Amino acid sequence: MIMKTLHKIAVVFNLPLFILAGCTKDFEEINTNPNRPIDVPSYAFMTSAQKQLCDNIFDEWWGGRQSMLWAQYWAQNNYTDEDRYNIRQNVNDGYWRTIYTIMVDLNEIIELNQNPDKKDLLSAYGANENQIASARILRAWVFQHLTDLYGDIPYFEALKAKSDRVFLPPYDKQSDIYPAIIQELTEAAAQIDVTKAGWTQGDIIYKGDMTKWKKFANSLKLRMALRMKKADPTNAQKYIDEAIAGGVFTSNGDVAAFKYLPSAPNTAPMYSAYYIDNRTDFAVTAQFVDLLKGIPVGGAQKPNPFAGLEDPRLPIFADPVKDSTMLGPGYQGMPYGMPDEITKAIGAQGSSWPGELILAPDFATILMDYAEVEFILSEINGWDQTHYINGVKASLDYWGVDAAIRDAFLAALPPASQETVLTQKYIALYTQGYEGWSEYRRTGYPKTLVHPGEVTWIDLSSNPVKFEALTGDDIPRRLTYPQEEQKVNVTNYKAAVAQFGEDVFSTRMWWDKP
Amino acid sequence: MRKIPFLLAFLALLGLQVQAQRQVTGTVTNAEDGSSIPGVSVLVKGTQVGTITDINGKYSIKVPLEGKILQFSFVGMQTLEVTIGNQSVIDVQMRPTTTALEGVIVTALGISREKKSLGYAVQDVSGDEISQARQLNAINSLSGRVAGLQITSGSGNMGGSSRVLIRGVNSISGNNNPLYVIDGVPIDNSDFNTVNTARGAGGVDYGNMAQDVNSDDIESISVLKGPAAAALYGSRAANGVILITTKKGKAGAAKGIGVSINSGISIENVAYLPKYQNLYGGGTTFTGAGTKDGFLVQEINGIEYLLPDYATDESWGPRYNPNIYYLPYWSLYDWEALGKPTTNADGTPYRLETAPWVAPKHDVEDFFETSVGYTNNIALTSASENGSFRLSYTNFSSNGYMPNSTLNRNTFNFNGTSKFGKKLMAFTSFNYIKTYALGRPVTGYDDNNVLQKFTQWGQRQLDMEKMKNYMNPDGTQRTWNRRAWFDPLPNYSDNFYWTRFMNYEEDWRDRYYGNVGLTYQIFDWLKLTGKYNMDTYTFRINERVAIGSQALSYYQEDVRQLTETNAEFLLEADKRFGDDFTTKLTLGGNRMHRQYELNGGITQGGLVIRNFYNLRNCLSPALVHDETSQKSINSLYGSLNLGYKGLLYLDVTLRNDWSSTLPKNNWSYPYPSVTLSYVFSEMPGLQNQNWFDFGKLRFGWAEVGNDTEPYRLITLYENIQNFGSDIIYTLPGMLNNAKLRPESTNGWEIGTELRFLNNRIGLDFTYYYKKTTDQIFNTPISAASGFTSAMINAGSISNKGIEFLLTLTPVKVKDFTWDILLNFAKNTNKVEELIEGVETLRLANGPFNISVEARVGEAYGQLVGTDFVYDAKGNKVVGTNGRYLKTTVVQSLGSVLPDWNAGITNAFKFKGFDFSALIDIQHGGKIFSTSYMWGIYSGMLEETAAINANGKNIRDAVADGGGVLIDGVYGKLNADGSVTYLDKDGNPVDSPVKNETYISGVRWAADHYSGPAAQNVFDASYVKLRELRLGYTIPNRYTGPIQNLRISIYGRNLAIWGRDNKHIDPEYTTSSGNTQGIEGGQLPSLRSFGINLTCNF
Repeated sequence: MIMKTLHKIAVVFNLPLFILAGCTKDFEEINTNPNRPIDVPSYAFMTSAQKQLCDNIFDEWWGGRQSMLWAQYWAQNNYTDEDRYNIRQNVNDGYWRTIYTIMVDLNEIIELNQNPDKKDLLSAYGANENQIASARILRAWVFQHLTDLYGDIPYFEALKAKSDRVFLPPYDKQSDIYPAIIQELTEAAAQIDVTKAGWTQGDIIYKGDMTKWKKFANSLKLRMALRMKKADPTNAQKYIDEAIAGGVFTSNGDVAAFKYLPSAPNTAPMYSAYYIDNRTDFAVTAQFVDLLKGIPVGGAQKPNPFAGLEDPRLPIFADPVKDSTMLGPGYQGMPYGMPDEITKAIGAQGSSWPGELILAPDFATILMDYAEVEFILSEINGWDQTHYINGVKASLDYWGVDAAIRDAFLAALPPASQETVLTQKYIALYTQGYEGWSEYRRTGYPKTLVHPGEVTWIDLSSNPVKFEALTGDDIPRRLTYPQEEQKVNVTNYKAAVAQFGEDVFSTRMWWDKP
Repeated sequence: MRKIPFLLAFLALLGLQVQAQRQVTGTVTNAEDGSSIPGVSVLVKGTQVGTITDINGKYSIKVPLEGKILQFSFVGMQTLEVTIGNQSVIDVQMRPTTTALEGVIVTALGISREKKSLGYAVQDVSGDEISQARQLNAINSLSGRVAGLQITSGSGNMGGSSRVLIRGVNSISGNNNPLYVIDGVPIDNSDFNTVNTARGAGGVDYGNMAQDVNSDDIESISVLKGPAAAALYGSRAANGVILITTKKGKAGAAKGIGVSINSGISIENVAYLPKYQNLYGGGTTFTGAGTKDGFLVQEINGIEYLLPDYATDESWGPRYNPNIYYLPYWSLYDWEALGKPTTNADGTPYRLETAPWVAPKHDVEDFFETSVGYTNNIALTSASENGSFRLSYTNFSSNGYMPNSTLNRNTFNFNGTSKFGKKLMAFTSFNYIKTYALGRPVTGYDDNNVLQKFTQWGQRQLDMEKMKNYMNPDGTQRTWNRRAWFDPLPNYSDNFYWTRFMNYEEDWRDRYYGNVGLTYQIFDWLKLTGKYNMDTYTFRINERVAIGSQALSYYQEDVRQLTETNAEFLLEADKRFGDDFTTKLTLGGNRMHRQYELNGGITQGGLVIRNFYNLRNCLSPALVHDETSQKSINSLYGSLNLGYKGLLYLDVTLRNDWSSTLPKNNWSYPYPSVTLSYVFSEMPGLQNQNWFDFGKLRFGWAEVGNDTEPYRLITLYENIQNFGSDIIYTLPGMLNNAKLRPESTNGWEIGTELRFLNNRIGLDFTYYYKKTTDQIFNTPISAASGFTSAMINAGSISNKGIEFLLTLTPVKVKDFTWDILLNFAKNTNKVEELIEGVETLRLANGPFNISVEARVGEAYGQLVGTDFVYDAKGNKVVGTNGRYLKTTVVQSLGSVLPDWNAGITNAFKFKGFDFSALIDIQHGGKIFSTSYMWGIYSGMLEETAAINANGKNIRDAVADGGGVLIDGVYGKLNADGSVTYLDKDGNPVDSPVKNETYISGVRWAADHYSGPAAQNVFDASYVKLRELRLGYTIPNRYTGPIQNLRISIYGRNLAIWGRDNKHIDPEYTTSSGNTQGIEGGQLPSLRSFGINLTCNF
């Protein structure tokens, strides 16, 4: 009886041990994520970076409600807060967040192609150094945009959360970042071996053509060198010479652009905004339409450097209005910077939408184009006429203007000058709102933009309507840092502001000298 | 009368008691009024021997040798246990559960304990309290009844979420919900709502899964509040436990089978809606050339019409005027349907129908319907010495208050025990719940939330009768929000009826939970139980947007499957040493495994064929959803309870968990608890005092460890939809961490229970403190680091507070009693620290202008946005333009957590009548109202057509005396945060100058969006008349074979007082998770009335 009882007790007390003995064995397997792979071909990251980047630069939120507005290519036809510089902080937060985090996919390409255990396998998708170089070039492009928007930004310690657990990177000076990005571009261009394979797949922009990547690196270097010319003329000239020697874009075939697909879900973001989400909120501005029409611009009737000359890109860049009640028929831009009460009366149907090609489902988002390179060459060669005409021609060709119409327009163009070259550059940068705005900040052109306080429209009863800004008193010189950074990266943010200047729209970039 | 069948049944029962050793008889009476209680179940505890009292409250039972304790239970009365000893006559008095203070209570692991022996606070609620005014979600019935339990629900969400907090928030970003345990089965309480739904940005609120518990099957609910009470349940109980005991088999009145019925009808109506303005119609007021009376003049077929602004979804249109005839949207659709005729048959120009510009006859309130719900429950029960069972079936069906919505739920519940021989007993509990819902309302800032279109964006002149015609003969939509008079496509808004009848959801849930087990009585003091618990469900959701809607059409189908199993054993040793000492030793182990799968997809690029809802009906391949996760926890635990002379009790517990979610070297973690109960009224000298019935001091301390979600250790690549034939993988925004450690909650509590004057005054008081440290959370990091967040161990949150429970019986005479139950809880929460260098952690971003954050040094759940600018004297500062200034940096605008909650129940009994009233109070807490912000912005709400101090409407021109004058002083905000006073013309001055600059009504309204976010933050305090209940129990002598025939009527959510904003109900949620306090497109709160009939056979 006693033995039996003891046995019972022994069984009872061994039971837990019995259960637990074999039970943590499978824990690691249980906690292995079945939803995500451990190894992925590197080209999947290249497609990821290219697509996510382009999804966020010419879309409804960033393109439509920020960069296209600030360059005054577009105006909103309802709810004009952002037009008047009352920006959505969520959009600012979101842009910073996505643009920075996209870059870790590029870092992953670089790290995996340097990893002795993985690089041989990955070379099946293109030579290791070519994969690395193209990732570096694209990353340099992203950083150029970030610093041109905000000024000082995290650069040298950025993107190191995974590798070094740097969660709160400090901000670096734009004057240090510019040479560093240019250095990256120089190294990356040198790293490219055009005799070896480029990306076998996944490179939507250049389809693995490493020669074009190399030209992209040099063209971007040229853009940046020109931009820093006022701040550091000596180095700028050195970089310009290097870039040209290295080989820049020579035709529209070199344009860095990401072409979307004609069907959902891979249609262009602006098409999705208009035709999927039915957000028909954006119209081409009166300022831009008037400029293209060759007539005095806007309510203030500013002089048009191309007076009397109608630009053949107008019907491509804009559509005729559907309702002519308020602004009249044909191509009618929405005057920039008006209060909602007035834009509502004009309505989405009463002002010109962007043209069919701009809103095409398979639109190609431009990262940098050939026309810009020609305009740069014209500028650095003392407003050179040939490069100027080449630039305009490149743009007209890119947008598919008929050759006869093109040639007639080119023949009628007033000669190259600071104003004509830079204004044509501004027109050619249409859809690249942030670049149009950066060039305005660098050069002060075009002169046709409306400034706060100026008359933007004369209404039907002949009353002048002024551009009333909600924040600041001029076109912004930079974007304020995202609120998220102010909250999360507090110490570094404060240090950056102490170093860079007040965190407001009017603070100038290092390269932006009055 | 008809005593014979009962006597026969009684005799039949007696006949079964063949093994009875001795006879015990007695009478059961009601302690309140001395009346006898028939139908009381009398059970010899630990056996299946039982009987019920007869019509005179008398019983007789043969007690087997091992029988020590008699248990008396009856619906509405608290269960009583009496030690038999040598007694042969045992008369007992039972007390109603409303004043339940003594007796036995179910504690962790389902172990019944004498309440007086516990060293921590536990509060229980009887099933009757819950089933009489039945809620679809039984847990919502606890609101206002338990101190320290805060329940927030949105009654208009039709089976939507309930946010339940016990003693505040413990975890920074983890789960803060209590654990739900039903008859020992931990049941899943997942919340599948999207992040967008939780943050008020739209989506259907499907509710949390604990809602599946059926009110009619609940015998009682115990709320284990602190870590000490819950320590034995382990990690998942760190936020407390809601322990539900279901009804078990009882001996019936006739032939051993008892039947009980509970049938009810409830009707629900919209209780509160925002207050809309009724003076101005929709759109814009046009001025200038080509306009007239604020309308556009448009010639159609040579006839001039006045067109309103169809395309704008705001209400800043012209003032109503019955003499103005305008061209309504529906007239254009009528015309288009005829093929846009230009002339009539006789050649005269075709004239479109016009309508007077007036407020709608059928406004928003006419859109809603009366919801009628039917609940029918029938239960069969039986008990004999060989076993017992209860089988219950409940059907609930109702049409919702929204057009095209229904909800249907069937619940089967079976509880049974069966004895094999003397020592072995098998038991099982089985529940099957089948739910079907159609047309659950969409919440938040969503195109398919009609409330967003009624309140935030819309036009006020729309008549619901006209809107009902939502489709053209060709299947396209008729919406008021046409793009233009010549363009019939919807601009921003769908027709409300189109939304409800074309863009609805459906969902189905099949759920089983229950257990099966064996108990073996090794010795009379040692018992072993082995049990297997399972909870499994399949939850299928279909969502759709039809072709022709404003948004791109789509169809989504998701099937979720979740299974949790718990295999456990429990060894219980119960021993008495001499007369003074009792010991109870419990040892147990558990293996939990949980598996979740999601399969489904969503169409891409729009649907192709009208009215065909299938994932294949799309232009581009559907996006596939495919997700699996699993997790295991192994546990060993033990507890030792020591009792001394009924005077002093000491409990010690220890538990060790092994969790698969943590890294190998950290996956095992132990945690202990110690509690003490000192029943000082048992002290000599305090015993037998007339005025003092009971007194106890208690103390508890515990530590509870916690793990995390699966797959938080390694950062893996995430798949994004292919770009054509190119695959896309990306690093996710969240960086995982291979070095996670378990987090820990440490808490203590001290409390007392006192009863005086023959139990007419009772008091239960607790003070507690707890702190959760080394939390596992996903901290935001600078996106410049390449990731937006990282999993870390850091940070702590503390909660301290008091709970107070007062029971009073002010009047107690023959045939009449008045009981008061008052509970109060105040919790102070503080986020002690986050990761170094980070002062704030965003829990969620609202759709506009607001976020909810955890900020160091402040209470959890801060609403954060721009504030008013104040001067040193507390005046609000305006610019010389007369508009509010706002802070440049976002500020804490108050926590969503309330300061305190209280509930007051008054219960009256008069003969067979009983009446009770429950008032539920919340004080403090903040809510951000997106509805208010846009409702003002768009000119929808009453304030936008108010009369100003000049006696003019604020919409009138400022030059004519209209506009708004903001109460404030002129000034400007300096970069250092200080304020410089200005005069009217903008010159700096030393003393404040009061604002006298009127701004236009539209400007003032628009500034609710572009001005300080604080304008839209409101106090969330409320006082609600939560429930009124009147019942009558017909004395059995009139009801023949039917017993306990009771009719009750009730009303819920009858009134609200103390609202800070008249447009919204401050009790609002669309999630059971941590994102709270952002109201948007709030679904209306419902008021319900019902009638119930219960009886037994």
